[in-house]
Amino acid sequence: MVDRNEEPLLSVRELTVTFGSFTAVERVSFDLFPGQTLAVVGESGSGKSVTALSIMGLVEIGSRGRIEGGEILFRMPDGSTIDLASATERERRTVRGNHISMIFQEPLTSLNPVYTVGNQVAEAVMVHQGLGKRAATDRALEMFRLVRIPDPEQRQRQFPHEMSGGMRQRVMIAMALSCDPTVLIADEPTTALDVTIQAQILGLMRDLRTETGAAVMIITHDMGVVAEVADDVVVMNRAKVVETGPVIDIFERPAESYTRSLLASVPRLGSMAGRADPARFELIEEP
Amino acid sequence: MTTAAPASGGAAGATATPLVEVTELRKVFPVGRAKVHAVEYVSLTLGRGETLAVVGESGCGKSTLAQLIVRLIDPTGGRIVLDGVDVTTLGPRALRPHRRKMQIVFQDPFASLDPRRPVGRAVAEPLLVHGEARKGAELDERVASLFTRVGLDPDHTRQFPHQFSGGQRQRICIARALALQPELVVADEAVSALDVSIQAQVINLMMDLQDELGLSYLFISHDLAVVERVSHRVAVMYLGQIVELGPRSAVFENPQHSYTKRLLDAVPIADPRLRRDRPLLTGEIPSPVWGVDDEPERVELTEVEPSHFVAAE
Repeated sequence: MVDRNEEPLLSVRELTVTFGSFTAVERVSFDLFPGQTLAVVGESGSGKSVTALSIMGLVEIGSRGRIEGGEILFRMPDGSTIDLASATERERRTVRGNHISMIFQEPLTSLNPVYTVGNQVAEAVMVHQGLGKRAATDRALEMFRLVRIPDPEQRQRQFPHEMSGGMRQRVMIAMALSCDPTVLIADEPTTALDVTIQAQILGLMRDLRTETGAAVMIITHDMGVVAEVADDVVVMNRAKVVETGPVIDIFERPAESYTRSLLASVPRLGSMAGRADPARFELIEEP
Repeated sequence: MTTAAPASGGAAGATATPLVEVTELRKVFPVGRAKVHAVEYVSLTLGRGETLAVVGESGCGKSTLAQLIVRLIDPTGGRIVLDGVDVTTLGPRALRPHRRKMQIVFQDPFASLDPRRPVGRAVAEPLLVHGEARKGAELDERVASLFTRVGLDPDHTRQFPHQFSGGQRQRICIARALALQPELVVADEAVSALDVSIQAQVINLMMDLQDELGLSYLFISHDLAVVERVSHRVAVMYLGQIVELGPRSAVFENPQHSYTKRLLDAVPIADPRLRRDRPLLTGEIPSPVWGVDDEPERVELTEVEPSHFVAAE
């Protein structure tokens, strides 16, 4: 499904981001191709979320973050290329939400508590696509159906607090996909959800990739999620890319010791079959 | 028919009297004109040196169960027997000698430590409260040895919580829990907030401490992969009730209840070759909120194989 003969949709090259004297992202490079699901995996503070926020043009807004160097080349639907690292805020705004959109870990804090969810999705459509109220409401309903929200006509009149975490995340996905983006960035989209709901959302994201063709960049700390959804993996540690490769290679033939030690500490369901007593993790010391 | 408390069947405690014996424990919280049946007729035992994991999703009542067992909240009904003593209704004073036998470690080690107090004082506090030691060289020595035991540098007792990483803070909380040489440690999502590499280290530490000190763990968790690793026995909770209880290998390799199966099926497996094309599940857990006059139906557990109990569906 991944088309590597095409130009990448998004090409991050030697990206460096600092917060004051602290370097959060250091010379990070990777490509995202049409139809690809790329997982960026790492532990707390590895720089994975800052990388995502830099692509969205959000790192320099309201914080002391600064893109110090590198390029974020994004191929626009008309075929032209824009460097989001050096673009003006006005240019970034045409891309953000329209062509690249993002969903976050905690849908409740991402939604406005005093507006109905249908209103909020319709508002996004009105702002980004310039549709009128009626057309935007119809589009919102269509998106609710796309993300399999049961009873969409009723549900769109609900407020965020009336919905479960899983339903709220579906609303966020509906909003993110409402403008037909070519890239969807999902930052820990299932981390706050229960495991049965997580399975539903991951399944939905997999189906939507086929239906919409959007490339997905998923930021996660969970190697189980990576194994379930990713085509390719970027492993980050301490602001740098440690290793990049196809998901099978990363799991079965990790080249770097950091990746090996990370995988050694991941509990794998089923690994204890046939044993009665608990077992310690065989940890690999990092050099 | 009343269900008997299923007996302990893990690696330990099969013959000796169990450390903890919980019978038909209930907790109902009033909410406005309705009520939440957080824990419904839960019966279980925990053997000495054994780890019993309680798994379930948000709102299933697992944390309420943990808090009931260490008597942080009062039960609506049922009985808790700790080391042969019925502690269900003991008042604060009468409970105090028993409290030291049971300790709890919470999910967020930062919220569990006073930001303005050196961490050594947090670990010393239970010793002072229970009159085990007085301030001075002896207390300092005991705190230092607790730091060493959990893999921390004993020279760091004067530092403050913010100077430690999340994993180190959780080690401090474990040191504090161990100060009074408890027999029962309740770990309520104690490793859930930690990065995987740190989580693995803290789990290994907990297993070492179990071997050295003969601790019993009540391990509350939503993470089935972690639970599979650490537990001798497993209880699966759903809407306040235990729906399946048994040796870990039985519950994980031969799950009987539909909810257990569903839970196990949903866990992402860290092996891309085992990627499954799952049908899109829908449906969510029903609300545990009940009208004042409504009562949830009580489930009956039956023993399907030795020590493996399953609720009727």
